[in-house]
Amino acid sequence: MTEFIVPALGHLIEPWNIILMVAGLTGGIIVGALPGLTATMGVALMVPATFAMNPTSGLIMLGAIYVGAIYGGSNSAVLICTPGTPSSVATTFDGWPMCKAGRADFGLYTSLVSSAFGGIIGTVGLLFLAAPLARFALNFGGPENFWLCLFGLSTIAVMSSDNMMKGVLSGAFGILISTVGLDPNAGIPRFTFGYYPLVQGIEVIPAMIGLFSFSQVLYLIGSHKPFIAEFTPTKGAFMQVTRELATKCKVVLMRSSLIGTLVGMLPGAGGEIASIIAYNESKRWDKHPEKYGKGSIEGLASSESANNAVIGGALIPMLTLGIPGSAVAAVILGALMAKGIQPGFKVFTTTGDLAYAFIFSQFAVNLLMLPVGYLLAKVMAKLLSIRLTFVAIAIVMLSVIGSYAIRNNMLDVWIVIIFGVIGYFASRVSLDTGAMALGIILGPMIEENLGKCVDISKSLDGSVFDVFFASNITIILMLMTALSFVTPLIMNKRKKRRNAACACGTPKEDGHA
Amino acid sequence: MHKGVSDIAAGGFIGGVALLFLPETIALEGVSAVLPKLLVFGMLLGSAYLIALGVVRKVRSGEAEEEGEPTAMSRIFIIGAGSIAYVLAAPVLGFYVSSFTFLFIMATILLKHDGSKAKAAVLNVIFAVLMCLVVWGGFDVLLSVPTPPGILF
Repeated sequence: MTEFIVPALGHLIEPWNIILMVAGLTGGIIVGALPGLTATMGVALMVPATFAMNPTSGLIMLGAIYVGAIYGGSNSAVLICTPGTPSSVATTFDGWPMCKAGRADFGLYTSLVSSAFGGIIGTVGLLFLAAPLARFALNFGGPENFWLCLFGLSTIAVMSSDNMMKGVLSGAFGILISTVGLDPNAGIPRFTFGYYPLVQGIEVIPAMIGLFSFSQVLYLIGSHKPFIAEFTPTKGAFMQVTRELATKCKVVLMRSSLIGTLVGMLPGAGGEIASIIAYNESKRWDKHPEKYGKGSIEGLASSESANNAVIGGALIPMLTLGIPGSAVAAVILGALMAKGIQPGFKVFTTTGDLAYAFIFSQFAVNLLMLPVGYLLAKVMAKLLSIRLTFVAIAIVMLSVIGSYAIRNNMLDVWIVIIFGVIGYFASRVSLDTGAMALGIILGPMIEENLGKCVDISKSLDGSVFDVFFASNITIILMLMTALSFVTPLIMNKRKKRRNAACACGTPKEDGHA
Repeated sequence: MHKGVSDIAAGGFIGGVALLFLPETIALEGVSAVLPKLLVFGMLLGSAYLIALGVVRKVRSGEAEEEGEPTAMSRIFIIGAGSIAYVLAAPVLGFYVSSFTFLFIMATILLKHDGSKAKAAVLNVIFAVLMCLVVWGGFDVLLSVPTPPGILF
């Protein structure tokens, strides 16, 4: 490894590569911030451009776009409650309330610093843990992935601890919606209601745009506010946020980044799952979970650090085993192979300078993201000084083009409208749109892996439960899921007892609770 | 909204969706049926529970409607209907013509300007043209993202 460090660092300080990093980051952040344009789309669009470059420069630029796009999604999540990428769904939970409270700059800077931190931790993982962790990830089959998804879904319990039934039903609604279209196991079309285009299923991103963006348009237009939020930039906000993150959120940032790195390694499990699991864990371990969803800096930090840490994690199996951990990693893998570079152990030996230049560029990109993201955040915050009606109408237009761009299909535009109305109605009757989104995202993975478990059980002449209890990883995940559902119930019960004790003026009981 | 009414409405919505999926779910067989059946029956049970809970809450507490943020339902209806018309018009008029029309009409109806009507109209036209230009430049030219094609334009 050591013999490659100097040449790799040499590649990194070449002016052309620095320009590519800055350009990739800027483009990535803008693509990520635009609802409907995903990191995958941004990276895929730039792959042909990299064919004219040498492999190292091309790979560095694609990596920069990936990092920028995942962070960029948080800008629209904070400013207009529209997750720019699916990875930023959990960012809306606290980012948007922060913006509504007039603290948009705090939200943007928290996302920026947390994303950079998460990205760096993910890259450290990529550098040192690539080989052993990639081997561990290979132990995840159908049963393990099924329980990992259920563990992710248990977030619902935490998200809606005040009304768990509504949260669970919202999640079930989301999963049911995800079953529309071809069954992932048998390939049978379901729930098309005689309308053929529905065979393709309900695309996740238009549904997210509808639930979080179009529903917000309805909410904003229905409110009597002249602007999205009152916003006066606070002097020294960036330093204040950095200090707060460095003192209060050390553990949150580290835990969420590690979750992101680990989840990133699992094929198919991307930033959206990592950020939701990290958010869930931060809330569960926090002494004041009630502040989450109301503009908590910890909530925002956990979501953003986790989704950027996924990048390093997703690149681990891609570089070492040729198994991409995410869709973007798959595109980068394609670009690598187009250059005649075969992933695997040889990447770190015969083309070691390229592999390490790429890994080191991830460190550099995450550090460069601080000044680039800071400048862009300042520009984007200006959005809040535009009249609310203008912004709301413009969001409708962006939602239309963003959703159409995914499959060039007008069905996706209708999905935005329908899910927007559902999202607005849901928020009026306290159904949980976050849980709905989670159900739609995790639904296909749950069903596919459940199908695998059923197949395994049939081949073993046993029941699905035999399959579940056959692996230690599954048992641990089952226990964690059960704990995740039960903890908020116990906490709620305790809280109620404590409140009752306080109301009666009998503090003695408090100690027994 | 009163908590009881909110529970009844939420239960009704979830139950309605489950009923919509029920006939096809019953017809499904094999591994394709496992998850949908679990979900639909679970949702029906849950919705019945929520409706019952809502009725009990409404009967027990005769409390008045909870005060929330005032909502202008007429404005929500206008933007909702306008968006539907916009999506219907896009495949006929083309994306940019329908977008310009949508932006201009919605801004004219929903935005209250302080100045004269002529000044407001000019401002709304500038807004609509600017948005179309930004989207065209960003999506169409730079990123080559396709927009809905129209029959007429």
